[in-house]
Amino acid sequence: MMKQILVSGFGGQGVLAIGKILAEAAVTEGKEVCFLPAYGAEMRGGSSNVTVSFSDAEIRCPIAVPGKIDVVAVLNKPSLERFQSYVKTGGTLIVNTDLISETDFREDVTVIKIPANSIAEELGNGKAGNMVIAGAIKASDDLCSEEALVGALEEVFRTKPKLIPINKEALFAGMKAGGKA
Amino acid sequence: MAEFRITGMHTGVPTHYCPGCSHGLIERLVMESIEELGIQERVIAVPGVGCAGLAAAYYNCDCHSPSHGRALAVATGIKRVRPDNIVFTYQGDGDLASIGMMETIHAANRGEVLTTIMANNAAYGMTGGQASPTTLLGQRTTTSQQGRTVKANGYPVHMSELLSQLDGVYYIERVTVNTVPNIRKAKKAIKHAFQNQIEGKGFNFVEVLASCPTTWGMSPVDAAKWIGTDMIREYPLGVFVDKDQGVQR
Amino acid sequence: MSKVLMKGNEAIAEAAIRCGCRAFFGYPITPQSEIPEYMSVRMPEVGGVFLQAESELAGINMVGGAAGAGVRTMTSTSGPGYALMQEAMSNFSAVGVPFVVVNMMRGGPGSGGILVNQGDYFQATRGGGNGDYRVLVLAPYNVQEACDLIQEAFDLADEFRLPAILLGDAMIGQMMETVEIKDVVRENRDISWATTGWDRKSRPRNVLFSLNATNEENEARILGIEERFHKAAERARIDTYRAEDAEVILVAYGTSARVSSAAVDTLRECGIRAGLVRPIFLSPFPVERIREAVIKPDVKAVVAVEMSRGMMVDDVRLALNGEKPVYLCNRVGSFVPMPDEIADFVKQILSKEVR
Repeated sequence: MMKQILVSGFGGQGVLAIGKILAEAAVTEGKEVCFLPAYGAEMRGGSSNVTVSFSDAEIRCPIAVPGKIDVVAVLNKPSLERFQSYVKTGGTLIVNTDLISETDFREDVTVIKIPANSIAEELGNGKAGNMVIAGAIKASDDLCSEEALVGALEEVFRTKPKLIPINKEALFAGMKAGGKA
Repeated sequence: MAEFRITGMHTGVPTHYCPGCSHGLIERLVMESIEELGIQERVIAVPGVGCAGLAAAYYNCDCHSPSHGRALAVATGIKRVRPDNIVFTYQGDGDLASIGMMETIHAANRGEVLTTIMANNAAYGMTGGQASPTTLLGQRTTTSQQGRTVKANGYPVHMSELLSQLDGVYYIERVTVNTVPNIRKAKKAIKHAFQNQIEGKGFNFVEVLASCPTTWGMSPVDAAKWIGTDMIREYPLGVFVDKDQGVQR
Repeated sequence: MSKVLMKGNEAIAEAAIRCGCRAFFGYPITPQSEIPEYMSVRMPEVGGVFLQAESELAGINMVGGAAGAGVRTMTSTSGPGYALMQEAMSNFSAVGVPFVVVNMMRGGPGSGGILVNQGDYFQATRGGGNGDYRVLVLAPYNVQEACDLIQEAFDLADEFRLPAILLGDAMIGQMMETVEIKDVVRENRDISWATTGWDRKSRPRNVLFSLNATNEENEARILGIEERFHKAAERARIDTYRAEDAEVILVAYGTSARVSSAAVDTLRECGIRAGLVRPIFLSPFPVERIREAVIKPDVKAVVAVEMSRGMMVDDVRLALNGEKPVYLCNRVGSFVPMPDEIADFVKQILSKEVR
């Protein structure tokens, strides 16, 4: 069974890092993973997006297809407009309410609204907003274990150990905010 | 007087060169140098394209003949993976200074531990005597039938002077083979260029002013005289770089 | 070794090193520059050679020099760079120097664009060099296969004494996937033909020289290339996906094949028995394997899916020789055909074929 997530935002919002940490975490648990940054004509225009596919078997098509993605996280308004339609019916749309003021969303998907940047600001570093989103994605779908995700975060920030505590806090805050309960 | 002997570095295949052509002479100097230095089993030849290219049949060693102009790229590839071998290119002026100018300059600039012998006869010999970058002003060729002009073709390229601007070169000398004393000096320069490579020094470059009586439309004797008058005036002989002696013009 | 997450370009470079590649000469060009970057670090670690050449033209000739001296050697580039290498591909094919070229396809013609594309199919399989020569072309569709195929490419190049091309694209180069890179270093490669220096005892003098003294020599050289190429054709293979009972067969390679496999699933959900045939070899083209998979009573139509104006479709048509109707479903300009677009195309042509 393959699961796919798509994360999109401005360049500089740490979109790729969100995909990277989830991908690395899943790999440590033995999953097949494909991390696919924007690859085609759609990547022109300063936006950044990544599709990550997770599977227990070989991943045949890692490309994001509208209406087929399990979890879509949008970090800014243009991303919402482009990728809301990519969420599959019954899937999850994670919205960064700090940069998206819309209130009307698709009704056939679960919408999780998170002020990612504000949460990170409160923790002491607004730049960790992307880890809040990463936590929320993890909480919304069972892609990997909490331990694996924390391990991946420590690995990704290995060369900048000072940043590990704040980013961990942001990750946990995201998991809490993104919980479906 | 010493007995004439064909060097063991020659395969024995009769050469195809025209009467009065310098290639056979220069190649003999290269072969003698290799034999005298005792590097026959280590040497790999990279003959350029043109009349000199057919020397793959004459050098009694492994040969890799590349496409026109690419000799120094191929030689770089060989030497980098087999640093214990002695690798040399033997190229004409068209091959080295026109189509292969980029490869020449970059190999020299990298200081590749190679030996390059350039036979400069101011024309494309094999293709029938067309103008080359080193054709003299006023020289008639099949593509400059009224004589080379600055307006049409620019100025003759001086490879020894040009390459001596590069920090990567170790040894550059321009010689010729139009007289017996000059042949002796040419032999010394060629042997030195191989000796340097044996010692791990590079880049080594010997430019030999060479005759092409057939395409010049001269007798062999007149061709040798013309080198001594017109060619040497344009391309003065001498050592341009010798880092052992602290020379870099 | 356990599976790790690696970027396609870096994984390919590592796989090459793990099968004994010890020299890399190349020139930067998007979307493959991670390969020379990776090699610049790794080659010195394994006692190999890395050299950034002054151009692709020089780089490929350095490759030919080093490979001609018997060392496993490669370069990597993209279409515009490979265009500059054509002279060398012709020359080194003629003298039987084995090496590997990775071509990560980007957009064209000209500078085109830096994104995923398949417009270099003819350039790779036909080549732009002069004369009767052939090269081997392998086309991976994911990062794992890219690692496996580059190692196979070195072996095939050695065995058939022909240059081999790994034809990937910007997407395979830039994506990260889980891979397991095998260690397959070959001991005792036959390099008795190479220019390694001649001891005058153990073998004849070796001369790599593509100019022929006689017509007979020239003919023998060409027929030799052709014979080796035909032998390599026996290895040409395909992969299939849900093709056994198919009524419509998609034929696609590389990234197009990944999208096409999703289109197959979409069509199957709609009750259309679709299947995928994926050539892994593009040159020699796996004619027999494709015929076995496609020439069946149930198959009504064949659809080539490409990100070009239609190049591989020619080879599919030649292979099927008019025995099945062949259609082309494609996008150009770095637009990837989406599974739904492909499925709609198939539905349309099926309605025609039934009529």
